[in-house]
Amino acid sequence: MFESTLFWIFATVAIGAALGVVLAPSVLYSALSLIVVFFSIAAFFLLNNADFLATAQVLVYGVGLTIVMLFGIMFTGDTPLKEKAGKLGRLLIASISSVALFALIFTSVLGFNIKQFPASAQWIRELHEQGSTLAIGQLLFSKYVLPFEVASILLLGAMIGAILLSKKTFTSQEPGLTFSIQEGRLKPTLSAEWRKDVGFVDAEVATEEAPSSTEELKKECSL
Amino acid sequence: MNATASFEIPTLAQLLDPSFHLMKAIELWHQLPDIVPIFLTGVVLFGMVAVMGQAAAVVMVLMERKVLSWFTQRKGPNRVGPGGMFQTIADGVKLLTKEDIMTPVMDKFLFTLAPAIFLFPVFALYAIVPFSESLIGVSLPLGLLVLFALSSISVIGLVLAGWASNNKYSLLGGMRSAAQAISYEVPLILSVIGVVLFTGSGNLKTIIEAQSGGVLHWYGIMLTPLSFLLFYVASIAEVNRVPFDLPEAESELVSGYNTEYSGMKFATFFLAEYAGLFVLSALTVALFFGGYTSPFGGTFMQNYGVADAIVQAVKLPAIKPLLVNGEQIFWMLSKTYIFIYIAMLLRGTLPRLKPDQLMGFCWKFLIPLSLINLFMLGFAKQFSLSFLADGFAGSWVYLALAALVGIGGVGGFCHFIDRQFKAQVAARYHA
Amino acid sequence: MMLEAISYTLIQTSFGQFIYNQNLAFLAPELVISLTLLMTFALSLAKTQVDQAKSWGIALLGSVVALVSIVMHYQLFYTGQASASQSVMFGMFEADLLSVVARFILTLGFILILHLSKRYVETRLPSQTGEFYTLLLTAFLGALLLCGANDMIMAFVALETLGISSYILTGYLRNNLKSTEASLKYLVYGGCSSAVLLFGLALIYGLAGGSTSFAVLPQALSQASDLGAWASLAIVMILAGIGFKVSAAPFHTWTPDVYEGSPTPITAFLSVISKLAAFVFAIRLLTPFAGVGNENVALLIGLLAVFSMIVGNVAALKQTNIKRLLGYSTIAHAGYMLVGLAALTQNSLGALLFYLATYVFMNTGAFASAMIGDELLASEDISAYSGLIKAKPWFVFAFSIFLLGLAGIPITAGFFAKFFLFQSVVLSDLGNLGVIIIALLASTVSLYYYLNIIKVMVIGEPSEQVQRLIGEGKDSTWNLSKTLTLATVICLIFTLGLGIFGQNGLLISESAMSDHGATVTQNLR
Repeated sequence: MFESTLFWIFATVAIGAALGVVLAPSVLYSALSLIVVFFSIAAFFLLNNADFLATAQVLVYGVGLTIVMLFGIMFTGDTPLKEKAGKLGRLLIASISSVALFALIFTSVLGFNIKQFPASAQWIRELHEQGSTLAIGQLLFSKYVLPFEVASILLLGAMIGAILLSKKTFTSQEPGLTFSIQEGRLKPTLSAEWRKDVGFVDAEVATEEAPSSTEELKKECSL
Repeated sequence: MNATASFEIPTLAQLLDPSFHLMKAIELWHQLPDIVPIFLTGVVLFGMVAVMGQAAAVVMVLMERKVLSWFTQRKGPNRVGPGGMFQTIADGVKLLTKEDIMTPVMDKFLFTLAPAIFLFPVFALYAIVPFSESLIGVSLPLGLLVLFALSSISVIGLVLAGWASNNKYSLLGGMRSAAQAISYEVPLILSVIGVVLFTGSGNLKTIIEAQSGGVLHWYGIMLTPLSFLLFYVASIAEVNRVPFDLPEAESELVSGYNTEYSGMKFATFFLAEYAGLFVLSALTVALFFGGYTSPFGGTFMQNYGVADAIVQAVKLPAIKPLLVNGEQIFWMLSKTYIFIYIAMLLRGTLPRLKPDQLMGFCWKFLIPLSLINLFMLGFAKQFSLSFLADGFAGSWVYLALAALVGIGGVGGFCHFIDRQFKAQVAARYHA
Repeated sequence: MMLEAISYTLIQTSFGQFIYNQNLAFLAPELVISLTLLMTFALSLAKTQVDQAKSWGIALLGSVVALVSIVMHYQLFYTGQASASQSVMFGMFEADLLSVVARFILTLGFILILHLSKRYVETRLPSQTGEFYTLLLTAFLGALLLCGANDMIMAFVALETLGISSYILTGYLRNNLKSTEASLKYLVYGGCSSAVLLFGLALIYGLAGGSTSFAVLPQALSQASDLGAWASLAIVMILAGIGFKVSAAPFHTWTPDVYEGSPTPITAFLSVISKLAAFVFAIRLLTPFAGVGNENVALLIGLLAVFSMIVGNVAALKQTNIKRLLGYSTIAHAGYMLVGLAALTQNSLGALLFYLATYVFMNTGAFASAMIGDELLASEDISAYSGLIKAKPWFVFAFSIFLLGLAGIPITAGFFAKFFLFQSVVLSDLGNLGVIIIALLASTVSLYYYLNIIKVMVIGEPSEQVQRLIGEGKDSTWNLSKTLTLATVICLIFTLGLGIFGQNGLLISESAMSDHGATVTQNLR
């Protein structure tokens, strides 16, 4: 009874927060709702005796991932999304495809007889007492040791790639990244060389028109 | 439980014996439906945690001010109460009654939410820390990992506080704290793995019981001194204390992420920081210094029959666990306060790092060193050097080896990186 | 003597026992490649570009050693010293003849691509040579493991290792907007297709009664009743994932942009290595379905094949950029190969493997030629090749052979590969004549755009660039990359050689399939 109550509470929170991710007025609030979604999923893991998965979910997704996302949002500025999401046709397509995907997953879950993998009472008691970490560790280092090791090489490759793609190949000494305050928010500005390095088109850089003659210059200075 | 037992009429002698009433209460407790004890335990624990957390923080604030003033040859707070004892309480009252200022450009919702997000995981941590063998909120098989998971949540609070304040100093403070927390979490967890490797459990109680043999069995002294050092340094950085207090560096960022905060919201941050320091110190004790056991092994109450003697003297068998637990709490708290004192000592001694030094120290020094340490511990475990696990003094061999390899390896690595860096700089200037 | 004593001592330790029991020796190529990639990574920290350039040699050495170890493993199948088909590491990897043959072709192709990339990398991004080869080797490791992966988790990890390294490599030219665009597109499409593939694998996990191993699939599928609809659903999702990797229509939309934008050696890698590995994965995963949801599976794959052939060939007609054209041609070829996969018989899969082998050499040769053309003419436009025969007749000859091979003209390997493939499909039970007719028609259409390039090169008026080349004559300071020339010559030899001695290659690939059929399923006829 207790567990099913908890399940319904967390399910409501998870769905509400997931809707929040989609409907939130700004990217920052979407990201925050996503944190709530991750945490409620961690709660589901806990309700199913998967304590290791739950903590890993909190550590990796709940905090690690979202902090990086918040970093990105805060450095690029939080833009309100209302005017962008307005297209009715796009909204229709998105909702139809998501409903279809939901129906697909839902029917496939219903289609399988889940009871065919019963967990024994003793197993559940062991999970309660010792946690699932031991079992996961033993599987990772025996049966699944090959995928585990390959995953480490995969992560190494991904790390090298991330550094490779973001490494600067500039030569001049001027600072590439400068910050200024506009409307009370921190705005990053890239130098021309960095923009080139990152791959921006230079035409986008709005340069202020230089005063053409000395008279104009004087006029500006006097003002 | 036996339901008929409650209908038996107690004798007068039983009625006079407090232990009888205790037994009855325990019986009643077990007869309640499951949900009630869980709920009540939750309420009681929360209340205890809140009180303990607050009390610890209040004591620690005063302690910090006193300790720092001794270092600088001042008297410190000495007006309110005897020797300034009630200074922090007065400060608390002031903060409670202070105006809560919010400027119109702030994101009010997040501004209010941020201190709460920062505070709640720290308080939740009190449920996992074992203060004595009975005084543990929950004894989880995965306690250690849960602890790190919870403590990492509070970073979100700092980042949000920085963002919601709509102030560049706050934002920079929040950013710094996030980068710092994410980076220093790596050596923090890597250094703990050594302990888990030898104990074979992530349960803090099991870890403490593995070290219950006295000083020679403490991991921090005998088995994994290097792990302890790494852990302590990383945990100091995790709670943003000097010399790693860049998120609130007052000489650069006014006050960092809490610049815009005032009144009780500011007090919440303040409280949570001290509560975090307390928890991490307690964790250091539990992991490396035998937790609630005495330096001579076990507890005096049990080892030398002190508890039994007292019980016989006052004729109250029910107080024996109280005595034992009381001694354990004493050991735990006194050890914890030693580490808190060391943290304050560091604050009085060391200058603050620069951001690049902070990151470099973590990624180029602590992480390689903790990896080397982990490798060596794995080596020791694999080749069953049992004298290490038993806390035999021969593990000084390991310590010497660890120091040699650690210093040599990290030194070599740093030298390599340094040379590379210099070569790159030289190439850039010559080009 | 000494060596034996040492190995005997080592095998007595628990780790040695583990290696022995789990047949880790059969993973020798993968272990060598892992070691090599760590070495190239260490070299990438070197400060001088000369040191970094050595990583090419290390990568080459590693892949040659891997090739030798594969050949040694192949020997075991004939000397009979040990039972050669073994599952490695708790059944995660199946070291049967199929994986050995596939990995052999893969490694040959990889060595060729290493030759393609040497000059390219040294001139485009000299300071990041070491990282380039590290990532290339990582992707290759994923491809190698995918060839033998016999477990869903292993297969997925291998697929992601291949995928993620490829996403990074496509965006390797960071100052080039097209390269960045290619990388982003590939990443987004790849992520979605991986997710869909995972859904499909999860369904199969349920069908197989809670096991991730492919080995239990045949039995589980034959026992389970009434799973037609679920199996089809799973197959649709898995085909979406595999279709993305092999760039089959309608999952092909990323192909032209990514092929055009990414560095040419990486384009060759994607069109050859990724495709081969994904096809072997498809063979392993889909053969258990050969007896169960047979009609559905054949129908779905057949649909994919028809789509790919039509889209690839029709869209290729209007291309002016050589890399884009080869991109559409690769879609068309995926279609032909899927025709072979749809039949799901031993012969058709054998012919598919042979087709893949020939395709590796033809397509790598074509991309090598495109690279030489780019170096000569500084243009990827087909019009720039006009009249090239007057300046570089040998180059035109080689390029024409590759194009004729891709078109499927006799004497080249392409003809025999296509012939064997279509023949085996016609002879199979499920041989759908309609699909074969479409395939033949599509091949005829493809003649137009392949021969068009040859026509332009041979009888066209010399373009501006070609006139400059003719004018320079022998005074030209331009020197051809030796490795690139070597790769082209090797491709040429194999394209012609596999055409003339193709029967042996077919025999090997068919015996590989029969070995696979014997170990995995009895369903194959």
